[in-house]
Amino acid sequence: MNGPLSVRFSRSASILADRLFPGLALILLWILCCIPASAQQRIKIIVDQDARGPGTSDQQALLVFLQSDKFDVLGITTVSGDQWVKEETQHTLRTLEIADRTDVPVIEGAEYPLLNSKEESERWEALYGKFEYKGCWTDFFKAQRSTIYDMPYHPPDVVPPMPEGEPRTKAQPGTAAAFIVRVVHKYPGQVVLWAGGPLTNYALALKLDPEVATLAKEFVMMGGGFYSDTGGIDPGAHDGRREFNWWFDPEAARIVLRAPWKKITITPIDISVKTHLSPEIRAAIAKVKTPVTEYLDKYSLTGFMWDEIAGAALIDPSIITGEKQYYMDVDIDHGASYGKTLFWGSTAEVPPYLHLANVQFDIDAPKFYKLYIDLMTRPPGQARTSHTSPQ
Amino acid sequence: MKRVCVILFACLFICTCGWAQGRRKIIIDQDCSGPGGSNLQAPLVLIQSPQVDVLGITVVSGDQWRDEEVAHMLRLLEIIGRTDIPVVPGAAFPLVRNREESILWQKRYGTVAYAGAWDPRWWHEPSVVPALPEGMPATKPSSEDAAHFLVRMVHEYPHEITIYEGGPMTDLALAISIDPQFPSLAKELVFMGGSLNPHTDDPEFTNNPRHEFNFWFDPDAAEIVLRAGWKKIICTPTDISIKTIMTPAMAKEIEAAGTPLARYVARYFQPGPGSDYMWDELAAAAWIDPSLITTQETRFMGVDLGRGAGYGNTLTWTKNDQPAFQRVSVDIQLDLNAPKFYRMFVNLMRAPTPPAN
Repeated sequence: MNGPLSVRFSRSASILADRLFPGLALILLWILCCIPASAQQRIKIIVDQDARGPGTSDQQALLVFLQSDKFDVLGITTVSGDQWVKEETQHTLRTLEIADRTDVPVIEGAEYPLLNSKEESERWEALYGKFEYKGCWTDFFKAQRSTIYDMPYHPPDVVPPMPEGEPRTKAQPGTAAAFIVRVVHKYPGQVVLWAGGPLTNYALALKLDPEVATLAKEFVMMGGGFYSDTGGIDPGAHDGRREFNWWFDPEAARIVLRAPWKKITITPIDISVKTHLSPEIRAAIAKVKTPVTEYLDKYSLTGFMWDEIAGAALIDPSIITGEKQYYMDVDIDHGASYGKTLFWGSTAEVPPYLHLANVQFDIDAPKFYKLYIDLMTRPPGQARTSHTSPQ
Repeated sequence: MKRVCVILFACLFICTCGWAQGRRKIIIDQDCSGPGGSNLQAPLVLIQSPQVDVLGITVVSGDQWRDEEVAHMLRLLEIIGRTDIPVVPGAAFPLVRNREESILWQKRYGTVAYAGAWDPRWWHEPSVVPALPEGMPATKPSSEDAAHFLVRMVHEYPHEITIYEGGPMTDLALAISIDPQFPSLAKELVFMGGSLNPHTDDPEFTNNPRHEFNFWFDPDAAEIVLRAGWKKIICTPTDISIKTIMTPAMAKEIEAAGTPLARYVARYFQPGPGSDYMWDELAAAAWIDPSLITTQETRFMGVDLGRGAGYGNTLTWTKNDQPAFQRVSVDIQLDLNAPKFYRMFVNLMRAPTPPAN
């Protein structure tokens, strides 16, 4: 896509240059030559997602990456969370077909959290009270709204009929954890690792090869919560520190948070709940007719834009207007607070295994919505990378 | 028709014989500190047995760091001429527990008698491989990681492979998390670990009989493994291991065989107390010959994951008092025919090493 665009720019630049003195023209040309070069420097990224589908924040975040020409998506790895992983993999493959991005490999990841389980969560509930939301363990999602997700529990091997149609493409063989290890070694210091779901795959990758942390460029994730009185998974969702992604696999979250990343950025529920995918945004997207907008028109739900923020902020960091540094951890005692977010201020004296994270708190929501609508209404497949990157 | 039947029966007979002659497949996961000692003698027990086909040795941090252990294991295979057996590097660190935290934990709850790779008495950085007394290996480990190797092998030989564990269970936990089918595709799990009620005045166990190093080093991994859907689990706990002592007389008898292996075992033998328990050799030998075990009990087993004083302690239940979580029962070895075990061990160490396949 950069080709035709830059040609057009260069032509107008030379017309401009003819009318101005040659020195300025040279400077202008130099600047304009740099722009396409830097635009070609796409962000190499692995997108790990509990890719519930069709629609919802999970698939919409994938579309943010797939529709933007800022990224070289090296692979999408799936992980159980909002849905079971086998089902998510199928929804992801279908999304890639709809978005004309079958050039991106999908690698299936962990089916279960490291230690947490549906059974354990049920015993926890008997002791401490019911959760409102448990992702793929939810036995009838009693949400206020009536949606396609109001369905009974099904076991991990079952892939229910897919409203958006079955994919023809297949996931790449191999495991997500091995893929992550391989890719960070292939592009040392260059790969952004992104997580929109529970952190099981990255925890496994870090345990298979601790160098993953130092070889990656940075780690970006949606997860954790601080002060929000909405968006958690407890009844009434008053406790922002009980956030789904970290709660689903607390031990994995601890492994990831304690790894020595060069940089770690967190999109917690505190910022997610400052966004709202409104009927107006949906209508603006539906005005343009593409397979992607038709998919979103059918399956996108109004609600918080959890994961889309974590993707969009990589495209345009200026949508984040407030960020703070905290030492981050997660409670893994198997008691009442199992899976809750722990944090300390940046001036706290803490043990050496805790690390500072950049935590996003405030957003320029209108700017974010504009970016989101722009991305979703682009013709699908535009961001295809010319190289097919067999990993 | 009759002739067809005869041929069919003949074929069946030949096939059955071939199958019966097939050696028992095993993968060894071990924290291979060395030279010599229980961690390297246990793999030797299995490699030396003509009935056993060792498909690979996966190496996990525990008694020493993984990289040093890999070097010891490779060197030993060179010495005995079995470099055909793949040595596959496993996890360098436990899943969740880390050294810094365990030091703080010990300040609060008391110092452990032994901390393996974290022990200040022989501490070095994880990636350092010191000069090995037995010489540096020329051979290289496999490029695959232990967890994927384990998963790949059970898919290649479904229901045929015994998983032997002589160290912390990190690699097995990773294999289970990567592929939940792994335990059910294995034939069985045999492990040294856990502690119930060892009768001893060894200070490592007198005040905390439920403490055992392999579980303590990576409690979360051990719990993942004990919850998984194995067909069968056999446990060699400290209770029985501390009843076994390798004596200088045994070392001498082995040395007399004069093979490179026998000389290696004798040279690096460390007389006790403490260093002469045959922890892992027993788990390996009893798998080859179950008649070594004279008392065994079936219980359900878990690991204390509370981050308090009991973190990593062994939990056990009987059928009647087990928690609601579904677990596979564990056959726990409690007593042995020690003379028979010693005889078997000495004979195996004196024997010529079976050739590669």
